Amino acid sequence: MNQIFIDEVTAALNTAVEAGTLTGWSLNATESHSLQKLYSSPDGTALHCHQSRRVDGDAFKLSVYIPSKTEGMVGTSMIDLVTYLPIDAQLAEAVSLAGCSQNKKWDLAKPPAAEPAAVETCDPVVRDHPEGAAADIEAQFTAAFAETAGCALNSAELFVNYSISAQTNSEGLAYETELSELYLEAAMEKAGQENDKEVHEYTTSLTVADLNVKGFVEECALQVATLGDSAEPATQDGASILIEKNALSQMLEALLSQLNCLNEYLKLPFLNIGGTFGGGGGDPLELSLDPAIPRMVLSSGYAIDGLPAKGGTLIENNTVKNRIIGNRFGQYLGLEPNGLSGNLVVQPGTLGPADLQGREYTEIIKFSSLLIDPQKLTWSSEIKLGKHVAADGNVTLVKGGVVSGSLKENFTDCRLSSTVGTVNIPKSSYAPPRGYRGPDAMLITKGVSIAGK
Amino acid sequence: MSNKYYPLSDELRAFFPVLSKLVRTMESGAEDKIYSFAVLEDLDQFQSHVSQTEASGLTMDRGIVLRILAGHRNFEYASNNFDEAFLVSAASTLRAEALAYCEQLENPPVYTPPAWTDEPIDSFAAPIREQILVDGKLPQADTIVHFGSAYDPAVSESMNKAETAARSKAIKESIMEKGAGKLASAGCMIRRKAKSRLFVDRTRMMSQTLFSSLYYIYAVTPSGKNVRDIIGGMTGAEAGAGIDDALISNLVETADKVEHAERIKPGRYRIITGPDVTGVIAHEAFGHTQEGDTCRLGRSCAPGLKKKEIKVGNEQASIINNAGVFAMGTIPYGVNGTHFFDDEGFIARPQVILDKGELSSPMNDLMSSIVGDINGPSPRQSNGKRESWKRPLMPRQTNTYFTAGDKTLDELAELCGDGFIAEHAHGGMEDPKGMGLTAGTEYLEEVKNGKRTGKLFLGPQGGHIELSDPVPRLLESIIAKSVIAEEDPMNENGSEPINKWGGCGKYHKESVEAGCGGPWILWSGITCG
Repeated sequence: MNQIFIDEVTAALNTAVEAGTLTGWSLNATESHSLQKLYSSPDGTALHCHQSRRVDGDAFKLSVYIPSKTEGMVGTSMIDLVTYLPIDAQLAEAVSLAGCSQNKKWDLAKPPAAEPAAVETCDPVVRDHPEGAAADIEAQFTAAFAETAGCALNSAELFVNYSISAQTNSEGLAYETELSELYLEAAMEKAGQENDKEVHEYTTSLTVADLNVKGFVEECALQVATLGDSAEPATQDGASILIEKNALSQMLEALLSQLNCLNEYLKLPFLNIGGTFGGGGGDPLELSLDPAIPRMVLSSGYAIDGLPAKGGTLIENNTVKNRIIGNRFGQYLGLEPNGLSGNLVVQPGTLGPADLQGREYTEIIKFSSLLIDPQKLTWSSEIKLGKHVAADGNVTLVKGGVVSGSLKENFTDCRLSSTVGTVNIPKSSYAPPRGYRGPDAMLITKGVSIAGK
Repeated sequence: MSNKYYPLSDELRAFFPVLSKLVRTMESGAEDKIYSFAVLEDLDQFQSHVSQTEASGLTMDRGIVLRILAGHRNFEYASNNFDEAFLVSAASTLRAEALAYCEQLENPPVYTPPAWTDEPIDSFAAPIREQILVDGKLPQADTIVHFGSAYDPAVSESMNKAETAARSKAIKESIMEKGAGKLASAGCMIRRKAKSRLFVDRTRMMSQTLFSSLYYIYAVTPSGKNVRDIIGGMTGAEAGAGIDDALISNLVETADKVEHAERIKPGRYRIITGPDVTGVIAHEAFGHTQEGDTCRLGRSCAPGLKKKEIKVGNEQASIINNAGVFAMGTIPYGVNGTHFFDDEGFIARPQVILDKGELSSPMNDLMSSIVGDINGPSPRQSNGKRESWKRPLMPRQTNTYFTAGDKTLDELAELCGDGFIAEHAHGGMEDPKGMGLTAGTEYLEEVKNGKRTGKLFLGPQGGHIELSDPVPRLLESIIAKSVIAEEDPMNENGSEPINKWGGCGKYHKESVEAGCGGPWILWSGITCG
C-alpha cells in the first residue's frame, strides 16, 4: 500500500476539517495484484496460453462532506484521488464538486467499542505466491480434463486476484480487509463431431482449495454428455420449472433490495416488517444474512457503511421480520442502523428426487441471460439449455424460447430442495459480489410463462 | 455550430518519450523475433446524478500497458505506477520472458506492423484522414499524431461541472413536476467523459481523446415501473440539447401508460424494431458470432457456415461493424462505440460482417488475424479492445448496425398489419455456437390494422419482454427496413444509420463501450415472452 500518499492525503484532509472547509471525509485505499491467463486448446485437450498478464495497481476513493448554507444539509462529493496530480488541487476539486450536491446531513460511522471478529477472506497462497497458485490450478485442470471422456476443450480463462483495502474516516474509523479471488472458466463440447452446442461455465472462490477444479471439470463434462438434439419448448402460460442455486440466488438478491430501507427513502417499492412474501402450501422461505462464513465473498467484520457487520433473520416463514437499516438512510428515516449485512442464507426445504416423479416440469439447466427487475420483481430470459420432463418421465432437451416469471407468485407454493449448495461470486464490472448458502434447487409452480413453438 | 477536435493535454503528451523508451527496451535488437507496443490509458470523467439524493463525482484512472507478441502468445504487464525506472525494469522483465518463450519455438511467426505509408488513408472516414495528414503529407514514425472527437466549444455546459449538476437537477425536477400524482420518483444522471489513449510502437506515435456525453433520465411509477431515456453521443453537452419539455412530457406519459399496461400472451408476433432493439439484434446475431477469438477458438458456428457457403439470412440481412461512425442519421456525431484506433493501435475502418445473408471473415484483433480460424488467417480489423488497462484484450465490437432500407416507419406499420413495435432495448445475449439470440425490450407498442395505437403492453408476467429466435430464422424473417432518416430519404448526407449508446459484457464479463443500431425493421414473426 502506498502509505506515504495515504498519510499525505490524511494530513491534508484533517487540516481541512480543522479549518472548517470540510465537515468530514472517508477514504478507501486499495492495492491490487492480478495474474490473468487466457488459453486456447488447438488439439482440444491441452491448455495453450495465448495471453498472460500481470497487473499491479493502487486506487484511492475519497468522499468529502462540506458545510451547507442550508440548516440540516451537507454538500457531498466522491472522487478518485490519483498519485500523479497534486493532492491540494484534487481536494479543492472535491470541495468544489461537493458544492453542487446538497443532501440531508448524517453522522459517519464511528469506531466500534470492540473490534469485530476477523473473518477469513484471503488465501495466503494467492497473496504470496500467485504464480504458484496459477500453476497449481492449471495442473489440476489438466489432470481433471484428462479424466473426462468424450469432451473437446475449446478455451479456458484463469484469473488469480489479490487486494488489500484500508478504510478510514474523519471519525477515527480505521480497518483493513484482505481479499483473494479466483476465477476459472472453461468452454467445451462433444469431441469428434461437428457441434452446435457448447458448455461454457465458470467457477469462482476465495481460496485454491474451494475452487474445486476437479469437481468443476466433472460438472462441465457431465453437461457435455447431456448435449444432443433439442427442441424449442412449447408455449405454456402456467408452467412448472426447476431452477438451480445460481438463478435462485439472483432472485433472492433482487428481493433483498426491497428489504433495504434505502428503497423506502428513494421511494421505490419495499417490503416492511410484518409484510409477507410468497407462502402457500409449499416450503416456507426462511432468509437471513451471515457476514461471518469463512471464505465467502460477502463475509466481513464491517458492513459497507462502516458499521460492525451483523447477521440476522430477514424473512421467517414468508413474513418479513427485519430489514437492512444502513447508517445513512436509517438516520434519514429515523430508524436505528443495524449493520445487517453478509451472505444470503436460506434454509433448505423438503424437495427430493422422489417429489419430481410423475410431475411435468421444465428444468432450466442454463438461462441465456436472466434479467431480474428488482423493483417489479419480474424476470425473463431465453432458455440456453433445459430439459422438459413429461409426467411419464420422458425427457426432451429444450433450447430457445423465452421463460418469464413474477417472484411474488414464484415463491408461493414453491418447493425448495433438501440439499444445500453455495454460490460465491466476487464482484465484477457488471455485478456486485454474490454470496449464497441455501437450497440447490427450487421447483416453481406459479407465475411462470414459457413462449416457444 | 463551430466544432473543434478535442486536444491532447500537454501533461499527457509528455508521456510519449517514456513510452518510446519502453518500446525500445522491450524489442530493440529483437525485432526479428518479437513485436511490442506501449499504451497509456487515461480516464477523466465527471458525473452528476440527482434523484431523491444528489451525487457529484469524479472518476479518474490512468494506467500503462506493455505488450510483447511472441509467436502466438501475448505477454503483458500493466500498472499505474508511472516511475520511469520501475517501468523500464518491468519492460526488461517482460522482454526476457517473451524471448525465453521464443527460444522454445521452432520458426515462430514474426509480426511486422504497418507503417503510415501502408495505410489506406483515402478510405478512412474524414475525421480520421484529416487528423492524420499534416499539410496533405503522411506523418513519420516519430511524428505525434493526435485524433480528437469533435465538439462545440460554445456550449458552456460541456466543460462546466456546476452547470452540468444544475442541469441534472432541473431535468429531475421537471420530470417530477410534469409527473405530479403519477410518479413515485424520478432522476437524471449526466456523465461527461474524456478518454485518452497514447499508443507507441516502432512505426508510429499517436493518441486519441474521445469526448462524450451521456444523459440518462428516468421516471418511476408508484408500483416501481421504470421508464427511461438514454441519450448520448461522442460530443459535448450538445448531445443533451434535445431534452426539452416535449421529451420529458413524453417520458411521463409513457410511464403512466406502462403503469396501466396490459400483458401480452406468450407467443409469436409480427414485430417492428426501432434502432435501439435493431442494434441489439445486430450486435447479438452475427456480431458476437463473428468475433475473431470466438471463431479461432472453435466457439462459433460462423467459420463452418462460411466454409460451406451457407447463407444465414435473406437479401435484407446486411450488418456492418464500424468504429468510424462520426455522423448518424441527421445527427452530426457518433456514439460510444466510435474510436479512431483500437487498443492495439489499429485505425478504424468499416467491415461488412454479413452481406445479404453471406458471412465475411471475422472481426479481428491482432492475434486472431494472424492465427485465423478453419478458413485461415484473415485481415486485421480495429476490434482489439479491453475494459481498461486492468483487463485482458479481446476482439470486441465497436458500432454494429443493420444497413438501411427504403421505407418510412408509417409504411412499415402498414405492412405490419397487426403486431407490435419494440423501441427501447433491455439487454441481450448471444450463443455463437448454437446460434440462439435474445434481445430484450422494455415494453411493446401495439400496431393494429397498419396503424400505431399508442397502447403499451408488458411481458406475460408483467415484466420486460424478451424477443428470441434462432438467428438464421430471425434473419430470414426480415420483411422490410426503413430509410436512415425520413428527412433525407436518399441519404444525400452519406450518413450511417442511427446507433444508440451501449455497452457489452462479452458472455458475462469484460465490459466495453459498444454502439449498435440500424433502421426500423419489420420482422415477420419473433417469439415474445
